[in-house]
Amino acid sequence: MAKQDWEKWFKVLLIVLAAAALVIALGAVAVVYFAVKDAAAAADAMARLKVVLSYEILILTFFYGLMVLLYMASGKIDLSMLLSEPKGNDAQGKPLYGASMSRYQLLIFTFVIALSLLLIIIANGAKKFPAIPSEILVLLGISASTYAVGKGIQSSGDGGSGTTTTTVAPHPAGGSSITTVAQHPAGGSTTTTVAPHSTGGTSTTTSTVTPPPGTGG
Amino acid sequence: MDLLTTLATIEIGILVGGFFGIVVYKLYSGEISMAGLLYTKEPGGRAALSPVRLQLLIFTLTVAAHYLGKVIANPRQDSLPSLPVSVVAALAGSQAVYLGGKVVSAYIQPLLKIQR
Repeated sequence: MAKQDWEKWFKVLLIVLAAAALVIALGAVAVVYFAVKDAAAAADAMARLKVVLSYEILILTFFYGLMVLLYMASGKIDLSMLLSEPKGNDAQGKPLYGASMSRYQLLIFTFVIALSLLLIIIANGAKKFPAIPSEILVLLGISASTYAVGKGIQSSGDGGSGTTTTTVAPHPAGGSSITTVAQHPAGGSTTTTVAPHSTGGTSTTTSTVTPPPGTGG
Repeated sequence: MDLLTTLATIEIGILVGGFFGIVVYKLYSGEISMAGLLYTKEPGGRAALSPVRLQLLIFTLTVAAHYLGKVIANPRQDSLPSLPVSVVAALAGSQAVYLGGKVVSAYIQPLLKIQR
């Protein structure tokens, strides 16, 4: 099946599911409204409403989660940079990216704790939510803090990764022109050219500033 | 309510397992890049193996594997298994060393480069 067909089919499915969820919710309200005749019936209706709403929330949560999963699997939610962080620029001034240990360790600990919790819930027959010891909360706190602090250092520091290139070339009007390209650590560059004037005598200076990517110019 | 509990357990299993499966598959297939995980950029722009990152990777994987093994060995518990405070402290130290290395490469090395 072509990708466009798949996306079209998926959108229709989502609309159908949303409509079905709305119909179920309205149906539940209608059942409760028409079932209430006296105080005993009202208490019974409330109990039924709780059950219906519990199923409703379960279904909604499942389909929201499923949508995110399907978008992740199809690539619409791009995960390619999940572990990446900027690591300076290349010779052309394009930002370089590499895998980040702080992101990686946060991913590992999140999955390990989530899977452990799930395993314990299943093993105990889902009778109650397991208690979480303070050491585990501290572990997750340390892991997340490392990620946050690492991100702060990355964005505020990295002052030394910029590069400057100077080129001296013969100019058609005689003499030489000097071009300096300064690559900024955050991306983008400043190009300065000093060249002799075409009529001789005074030199001209031209500066071109390219903003870092993602700054909107 | 038993049916609801069972369905909720299955749902969480599918969603958490699905997220885990997709991330692991994308890591395996290379869609999520792990290039440069253990490398740091030196002042000259050259990439070099970073012992600081390596030690954090070893600590992380060891603690994670130990913890998961503990859960798999005895999943019938009322709470998540606890970790010894010394292990948490060791991990915190490892992460502090990693952050210290990051501070050096982001702030100290550029200053030294300018002074030279």
